Amino acid sequence: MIEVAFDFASVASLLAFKPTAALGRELGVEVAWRPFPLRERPAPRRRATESVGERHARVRAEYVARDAARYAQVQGVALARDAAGVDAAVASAGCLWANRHGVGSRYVQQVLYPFWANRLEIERQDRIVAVLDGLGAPGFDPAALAAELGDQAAALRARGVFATPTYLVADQLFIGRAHLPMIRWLLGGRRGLGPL
Amino acid sequence: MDPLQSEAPLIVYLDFKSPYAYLAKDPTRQLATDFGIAIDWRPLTLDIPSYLGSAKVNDAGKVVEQNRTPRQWQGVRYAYMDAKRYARLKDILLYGPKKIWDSSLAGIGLLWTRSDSAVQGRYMDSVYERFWRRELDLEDAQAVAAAVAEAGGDGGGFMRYLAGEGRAQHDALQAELHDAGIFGVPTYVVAGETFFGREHLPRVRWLLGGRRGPAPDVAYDRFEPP
Repeated sequence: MIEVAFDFASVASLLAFKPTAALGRELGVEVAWRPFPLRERPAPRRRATESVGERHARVRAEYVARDAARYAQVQGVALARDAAGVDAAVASAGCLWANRHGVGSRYVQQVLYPFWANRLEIERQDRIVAVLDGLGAPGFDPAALAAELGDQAAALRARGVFATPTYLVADQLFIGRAHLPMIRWLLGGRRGLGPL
Repeated sequence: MDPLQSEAPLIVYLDFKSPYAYLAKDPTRQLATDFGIAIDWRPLTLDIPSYLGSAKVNDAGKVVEQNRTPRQWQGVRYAYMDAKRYARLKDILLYGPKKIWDSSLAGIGLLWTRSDSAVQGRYMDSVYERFWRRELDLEDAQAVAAAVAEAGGDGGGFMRYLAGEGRAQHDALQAELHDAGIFGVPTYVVAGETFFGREHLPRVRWLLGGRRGPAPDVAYDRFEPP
């Protein structure tokens, strides 16, 4: 199994979905999507006076945005918004509900892509209910899942998760989809030369 | 020196105190072999305390000074763990540094050796390997000069360069990097685009190879010759 701690409001999680799902299919292993909402902070903006650290953070954030855009283009994914300040708690609770009904992967796909294309408001319960109803998982009540979501996040933190997407595979943590070749190699029996 | 312009088709920024840049060195160099190109290697001397806090450990590995947040510690510890697991696959030895080094002298050595790619290659190999085995003091100019000389370069010339043009050239380049959008290592500059991290090597390879086939995604992966 490939466990993935992810955040609907993380563009890195969005870009990880396709290649992760593809690796799961290739290896014939289940991908378990574990919501781990981290409230995205607004990207730093240029100011008249910046410390070296502030400038570093801004330049890095600007780069990360450009990088996401170019790889979104590679994947054919629409990026029509940012996620600063977005509360992904309801959508994350919805993922727990979807997992319980065996439709977790389809739910993640049906929420991630429309959200980033600016076609789905993931903070609205009625929108999430509609997605779940469409997947055959009716009766969603986020309040009833809040404690479970908190417990799961705490359990992930206890395992060392602090960023998304994080892969939990073979007792190791891997942050970012760039590690998928390593995960393939590990789950494939470490045959041949390892990745670089 | 324009941070984004070079006569070479590929500029690579590195820092000898970065384990990620060390891991990127050989797969990046493979590009030069596979495509028959020159690589313009340049120093980016990371100012780590400015964005990641600082810390010192004693010989027992115990932290004796630090001003990092818990989040910064998580990031640093993950980064070293991650670098070490990939290093093990290549039989690269990485001992965690006991402090944050000023690696500018070694970066100036990189600039000094750039006129001879063979000397520069040997210098990079030697400095990386010895520093990460804790066998080289990056803040000792004589030690860096010795590394230049052992690589076949002019160690005495390096000392004169360091005292004059070298330091000035290094510092001027560092001052321009943020405005050029460059902030970390390894950074690749190819076809006017910047890429931070060796996970972009598939994309860099695709660009150097004439954009044949679909553009690849990021990956820490091995490369097949074109």
